[in-house]
Parts: sequence; structure tokens; C-alpha cells
Amino acid sequence: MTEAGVCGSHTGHDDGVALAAALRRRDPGADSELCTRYGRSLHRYLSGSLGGAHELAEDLVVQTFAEAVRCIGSYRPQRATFAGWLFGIARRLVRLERRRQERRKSVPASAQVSLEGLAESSSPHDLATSITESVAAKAQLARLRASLSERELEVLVLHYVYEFSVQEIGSVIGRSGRAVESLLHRAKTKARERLTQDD
Amino acid sequence: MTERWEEQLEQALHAAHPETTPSAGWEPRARAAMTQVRPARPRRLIAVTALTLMGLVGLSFVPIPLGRVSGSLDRALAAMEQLTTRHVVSWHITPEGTEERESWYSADGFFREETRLDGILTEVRVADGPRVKQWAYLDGDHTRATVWESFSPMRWRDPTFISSDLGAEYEKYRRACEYMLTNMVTEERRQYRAWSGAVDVVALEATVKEPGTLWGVFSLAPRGDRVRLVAEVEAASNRLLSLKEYCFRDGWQLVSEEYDEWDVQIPEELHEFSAPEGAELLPGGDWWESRVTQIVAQDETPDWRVVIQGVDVNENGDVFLSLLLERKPDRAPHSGGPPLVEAYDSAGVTYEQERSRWGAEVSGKGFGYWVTRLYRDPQATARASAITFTIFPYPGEEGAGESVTLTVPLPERQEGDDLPAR
Repeated sequence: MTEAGVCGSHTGHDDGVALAAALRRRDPGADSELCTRYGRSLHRYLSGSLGGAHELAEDLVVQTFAEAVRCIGSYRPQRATFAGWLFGIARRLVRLERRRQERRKSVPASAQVSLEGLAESSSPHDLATSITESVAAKAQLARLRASLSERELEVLVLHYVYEFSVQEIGSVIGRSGRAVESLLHRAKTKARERLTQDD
Repeated sequence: MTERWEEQLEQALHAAHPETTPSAGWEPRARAAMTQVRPARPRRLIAVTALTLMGLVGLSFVPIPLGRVSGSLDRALAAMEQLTTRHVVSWHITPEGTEERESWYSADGFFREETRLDGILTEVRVADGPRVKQWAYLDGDHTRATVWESFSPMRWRDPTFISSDLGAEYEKYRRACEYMLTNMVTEERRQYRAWSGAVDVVALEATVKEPGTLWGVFSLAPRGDRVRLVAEVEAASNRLLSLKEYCFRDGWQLVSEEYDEWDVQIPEELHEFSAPEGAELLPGGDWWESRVTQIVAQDETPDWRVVIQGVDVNENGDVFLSLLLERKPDRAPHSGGPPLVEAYDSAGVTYEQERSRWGAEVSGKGFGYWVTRLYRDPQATARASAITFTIFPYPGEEGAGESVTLTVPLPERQEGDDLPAR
């Protein structure tokens, strides 16, 4: 898989490398290119990871990009795709944010159920279908959460939603490709057992 | 083909991460944040660099003791006779600020010295043989510069002045130890260092008895201060590597440092001399050029040869006496101190020696050139044809009683007051 899956456009691996080099040189326009290519996918990932806290996700997108520019010197193309590296930064920020929230003893964002995405549905029928599907999906998700560890669920999300390769998932979560492979296999097995059992 | 459970899984996961649209303002905010941030150096690189540096620095700072030695500075002085060039970089603290000096010496008589005060070039001296060109700023604002050319009898006498220059320092060091310092403890040890090989470290610690100038610094040290000098000499070549001075003020403080390089290539452009634009040209500076080859009169004491090289009389009748004082070859090298002179003329008028202005140049190789002024009694009107000098070449503790008495004709009076500065 290339970064196309993440970015929603055909940007090859080399383009990520080129963008990283442009950021390192502080080329004019590199910042905008970064926002255009990865802004939406990162926002989606952060928002999903934070249980639908869109505004907080926006803040973390901004922080992710700023952190990426600050640490661009440490990016090594031979070790991770640029998207994988970027999502790794975002993931660390999510974990930091969670720790912060735990310290504040506030209600975690993941405890809230978001239906904001449903507002985009175009007709009452679509809306009804969306609600049904969404409710069903959220019910499935709740069951999966009960059976899978957080790490297993995370690997599944990165694989099925963001279409990352095993290697890329490794660079996001800081594990080797083989470890991710094993994790993914275990997670899939558990998910199948749970979902087929429900059927 | 995708199985049903996998479809359900994908739906569930997509529900957890639905498509989102960030608000319109996020992108300018992100760009602004990226603009403000400064790229950091990779931590791993910093860590590796720091560890490497620490290791290397650590290695160089962990000398292996090789035992006691003696006579390192004498050997360093002797070794200089064989050297062709010397490059010195030094700094010391003055009441005006930190003065840095960079000097180049060559055995063929070339010399250049650049002086900087708090980083600003304030003085340049260039010598090719005995002739010295020099410019310097006379004010703190660096607006008024003067330039002049002079003749140095030391370089006329000793073109290989690399050694004589350091010899002068060595002599100053020796004399300072003798007269300015007390309770002296000297330690001389050989060390082995990873980068520089075997090095002799001469460390001297003493209390200031008489505030004075030792390598230009100890004038800052009040009486009773503890001071420390550390010289390093390369054991294999006997070349001086560095000199450091410390004063004890709430702990040892480094107040002066000098690093020496030997037999280095001197860049051609350093031979060029140019003064700042608008520098005022000062006359004079050739006093010794016309006197250094003259012998008006001479005599000897047990330790010294005394040569009168010039007698000049100003418009008031004051006498300027130009002297060469030379230690006899069979005596230990010593350039003496400022000579003490008593004088009376053939009209019976006595003269009083000016003590504040000696106009002297000193060498560490056993000789020194001196100009001293003798004031004639202003009330005396009688003219004289001859003058008798009693000269004590070294009125200090050693050989204090040695003197010569010489009578020479008095020349015609010359216009002006301060003849050497004219």
C-alpha cells in the first residue's frame, strides 16, 4: 500500500519523501502542501481516537504539524513512510491528551457518542438508513471493545480505515512489522469469533 | 472475497472513525504554528555527538602522570634557538577590558602583532628587521589613530628575536618571581595525554609581595593575593605550548592565557601594513638608529660591560644618556634593571636623574638598551664642556655596589625639551 490510502489521492511514497525534504529546507508552500495532503485524514484519525472530539482533534492536527516541522530532521524515509511517521506523532499527542484528561478527572471524550456525521446525510431515507447502520455499527464496536484490547483495536482501525500496511502500522505504534503482523492476526481472529458469535 | 464478519468489522471501525471535516480556520492556524516553530536537531544525533565529544574531551582531560621533572622552562628557552617561526595567541584582563593579542615571529626578523580590546582591533605592529611600523587608536571611541615608524636596537642586535622575545618574557617571569612574589611553591611534573603526548607542566604558586606586571597581568593582583602560573612544555621537542595565569579571588580564576605554535607557515598578507584612514603620522622613533653603532665611552664592572652610546643635551641643559648594559658572558644571563646614574659637569653643576621615565628596552639574553634623562639644576647658568657619570648597571639586590665612572665631552645644546620623543 502507498500513502494513497491515507491521503485519498495518488501521492506516492516518493512524494512523501519529497515533501519531507521540502519541509526540511523550509521551502515556501511546503506547509500548505502538508495541510492539503494530510489535514483531513489526520483530523479524522484524531477525532476518532478522541471519541469524536472534533475541536480537540483540530487542535491536535495543528500540534501534529508543528511537531512534524520541529522534528523533521529526525524523519528517516528508509524506516517509515511519511504518513506513518506523521500518524505516529498524532498518536503520541492523543496519548498525551488522554493522560492530561485523566489527571483532570474529566469525562473522557470516548465516553460521548457522536452523531455529528449523520447531519451530512442528504435525505430522510438516507438519514434513517445512516442512523440504523450507525447504531448497528456502534453496537458492534461496543462488543468488539469488550473482546479486543485497545492495541488490537487500534491496529484494526489503522489497517481497515486508514489502509496502512503492516510496516506503516509498525511505524505509527512503534512496533516491528512482525509484531504488528502477529497483533493484526490475533485481532482479526478475536473479531471474527466475536462477530460470528453475535450472528 | 470479503466475509460478512469482515464487512461488519469494517463498518464498526468506520463508525468509530467517521469521515470528518475540520472547521475553516484550522489550516491558517496550522500554517502559523508551523511558521513559528524552529526545527530541532535530531535527538539521536545530539546524543551521539554529545557522547562522542564527552568521550574525546574526557580522554584529553585525563592525563597519565609520569613523575617529576625539572628544568623544563630552561630547556624550552634553549630549544627556541633552533626554531624558525612562532605564532602566539593570548588574552588577558586589563582594567579597560579583555585584551587579545595575536603575534607572529620569524627567525628572519619578521614580526607582527595585532591587539584587540573587547574584540576591536586597536593596535598593529609590523617589523621587518629592526624597523617597526605601528598604528594605534588613542581614544576609546576608536576615532583618533596615530601611525609611526621606529627603530628597535634589540632587533638590530638580535635578528633571531623569536628566542629573545620569549627570553624577555622568561626574564620578566624570573624577576617577578624574585621581586614580586613570596611563599613560592613550584611543582614540575610530566604527564601523558592522549592527543599531545608527554607534556611537562610547570606550576608555580605564590603570594604577591609587590604588585607589578608579570606577563602584563599581575598589576591587577593586589598585595597579598595568591597567584598561580602554569606553563606547559612538549616533552619531546621542548617547545612551549601554553602559559596560564590565575588569581585567587573566591576561588582560582583564569586571568590570562597564551597558546604557542612553532615552525608554522606565516601567511604572506601578514607582511602588509596599513593604518586606519586619517591616522595622524607621528615623527621620531629613530633615536636608536643613529646611536646604536656609536661608542662614546665604555668600561666594565666585575659582572657588566657598560657602554655610553649617546649623550644629548636639550635647550635647558638636561642630558639624555643612551646606554648599553651587557652582562659578561661568563656570568649567568641577566639584563639587569633600570640603571642608576649620578652626574656632575665640569662647571660643578649636579644633575638629578628622572626616575619615572626610563625609555628602556630589555632583553632576556643578558643585555639591555636604556635611555635615561638627567635634569640640570635650572638655577645654574654656568656652561660646562664635560660631564662625569657614575653608572650603577644593576642597582638591585645583586651586584648593587658595582658601578663605572666615565667622563665625556658635553655636546652642543639642541632645540626642544624631550629629545627622544621629538
